Amino acid sequence: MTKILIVEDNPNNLYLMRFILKKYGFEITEAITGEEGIVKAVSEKPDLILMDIQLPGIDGFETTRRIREIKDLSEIPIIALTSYAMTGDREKALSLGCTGYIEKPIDPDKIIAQITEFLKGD
Amino acid sequence: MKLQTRVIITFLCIAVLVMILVGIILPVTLNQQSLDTVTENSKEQLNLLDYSLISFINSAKSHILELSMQTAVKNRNDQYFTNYLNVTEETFKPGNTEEEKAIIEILYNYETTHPYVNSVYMGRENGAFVRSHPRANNTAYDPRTRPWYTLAKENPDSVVITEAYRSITTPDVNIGVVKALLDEDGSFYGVVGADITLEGMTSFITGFDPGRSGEIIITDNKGTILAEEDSLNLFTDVGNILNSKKAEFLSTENGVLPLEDDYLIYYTSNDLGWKIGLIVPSEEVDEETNEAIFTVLTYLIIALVILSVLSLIVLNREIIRPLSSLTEISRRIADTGDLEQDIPVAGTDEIGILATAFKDMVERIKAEEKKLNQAIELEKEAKSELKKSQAELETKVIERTSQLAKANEHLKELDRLKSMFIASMSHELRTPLNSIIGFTVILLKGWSGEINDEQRKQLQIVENSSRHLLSLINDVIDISKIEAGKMELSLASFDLIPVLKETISSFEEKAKEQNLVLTKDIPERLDVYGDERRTRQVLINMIGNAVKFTDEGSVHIKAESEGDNLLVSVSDTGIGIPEDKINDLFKPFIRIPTEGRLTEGTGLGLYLSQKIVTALGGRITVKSTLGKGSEFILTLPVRSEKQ
Repeated sequence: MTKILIVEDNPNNLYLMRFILKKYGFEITEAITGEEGIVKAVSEKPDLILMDIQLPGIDGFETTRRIREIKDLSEIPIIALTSYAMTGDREKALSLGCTGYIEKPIDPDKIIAQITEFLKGD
Repeated sequence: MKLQTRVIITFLCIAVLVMILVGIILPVTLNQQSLDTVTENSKEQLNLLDYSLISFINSAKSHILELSMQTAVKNRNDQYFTNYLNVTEETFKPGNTEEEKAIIEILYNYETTHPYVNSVYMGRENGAFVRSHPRANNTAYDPRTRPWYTLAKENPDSVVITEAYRSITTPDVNIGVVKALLDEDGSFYGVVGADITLEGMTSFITGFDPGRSGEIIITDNKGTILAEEDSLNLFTDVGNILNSKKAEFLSTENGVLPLEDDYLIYYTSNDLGWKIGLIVPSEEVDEETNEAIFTVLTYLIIALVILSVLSLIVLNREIIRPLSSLTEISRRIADTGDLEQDIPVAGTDEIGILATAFKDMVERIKAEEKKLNQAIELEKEAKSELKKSQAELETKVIERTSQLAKANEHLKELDRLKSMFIASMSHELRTPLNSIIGFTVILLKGWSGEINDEQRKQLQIVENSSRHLLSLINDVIDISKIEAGKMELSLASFDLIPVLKETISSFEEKAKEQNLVLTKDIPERLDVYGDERRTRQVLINMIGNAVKFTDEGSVHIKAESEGDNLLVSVSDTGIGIPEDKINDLFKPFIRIPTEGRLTEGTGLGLYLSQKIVTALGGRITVKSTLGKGSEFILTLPVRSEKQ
């Protein structure tokens, strides 16, 4: 079963993501801070990470950068989730090692299609 | 050059000029003058000589007359006297009579008492000839043929003088002073006379002092020289000396004849009929001329020197010294700038006027200087006040600047706070919206269980309102960025067609719902330079507006390239825009009121689109007819300006 790590601090949004992904039969593991996300990424070895950018403590960019430095995780798909119109977020996310970029608010149909797309390329 | 030097030089020049002129003119005039003087002078002397000659000749004449009247001389016995007719040295026999001896003694006495007479004689009609001393040669001699005898015979009543004639037995040339011997009845019987040799004459005239250097010459009226210092010239023709001038000499009473090196000044004696002349060397006339010139020049120089000195003294006293003093004062003023000078003013002449004018000028300058100083003082005061004001102003400016800086800091802080506020607001607003929209969609999909129609309708409203709220938030964020000049563009060349197609298809469902025909006329590929996401945002706005404001008919989208630009035109058959409202289209929060229509949207769409397109180097233009439809045209550059 495909395992997806969701790094998201807002419990409602976390719940939304979890609900949608579970609906499509993905195995979910969660983290509510960047630090926890790194730990989970190492311990759970997910197939894909959904990374919220605005996080308390180290943000999604920094978390992505650190995950990419870990040997086994350099190739793992990381999809950044960010609010619309934050200046240069998209480019910044991609340059720091994110595989993709999804803009909030998420569209349940679209997000499944995008995730499926990224996993295919794996 | 100093004035005095110049005056002296002028004087010298004038003096030299005068001397040159005098030197040229004087010799000419003076030469004539001195010749005239010499002539006058000489003629006086010649007159004296004439007088002396006449008295000499007259004394000889009167003695001959006395002689002719002596009884012994008058002896009529011609046969008692020696006769040389037809004799030779051998045949000659002297008379030796008592009568003849008595006569010879008388004649001899006469000769010895007259120093210039060398021979006294007597001839008779019978050819007898008696003389004061014996003849050198006793050759044949007939007195009656001699010129002295014939002349006396022709002029029996007076003592006459012969022309010069050469004696027979000696080389002497003589002039005879002769008188005929007459009876009581007046009949002629002989001649008695005395000879004066020309040498004697010469001795006589040589004893006469003419008063100057020069030679006396005497000729008879035919030009034969009777007396001259050079005895070789005696009895020669004067033509030898005078050459061509002889005729003039003989034909005129008196005059001056220029000879080669001499002047001949001559005069004709009335009594004697002889020409008496004085030969004066030209040098003497020249010398006289030179002396005259020298005298004149000497006086002239003295006069010029005196004139110059006097003029200089006067000039110096009247002009140069006052001028020098003025010059000195001017120089002092120029050197020191001190106008407090004692300027002497005297007289009413030009110098006096100059000095007065100079003094006035200095006074004026003093006055002007005083004014100027006052002005400078005023200016100084003004300047110092200005400086004070400036300093105050500067202080104020600094104060204000610091206030402004503070205000600016404050504003910056506010701006930062605003940005922070907007950033956090966008996040804080969108985070819940994410859940709201997400779950609404999930509920509508029935993932959380079946919903009835009423619930679906209401959930639909929740989704729409949430999306509207989201777009409002997004627009506000965009505008705040643009207005702060902080909108970052991600510029690159991209193909517009896929973007356009995606945008159009996203409206297809909605168009279908409104029964609108959505048509497009677009090429295969259309490259453009810009920000893809922003361009998409603009296209969404344009097409969205067209669909929103068209109730029936169609929306047509056309794309084409035109030169360096590409054009995307979105035309509709919608409600159109009133002409007077077209200008309001691109203003924020302006919504054109439309009757009977529920208007959705933020009122920021076109304003934002125009801002984005302008930032991309393009523009949006609009044509519209109320009630018939509108056409919005987007123009974007194909290449970047750098390309």
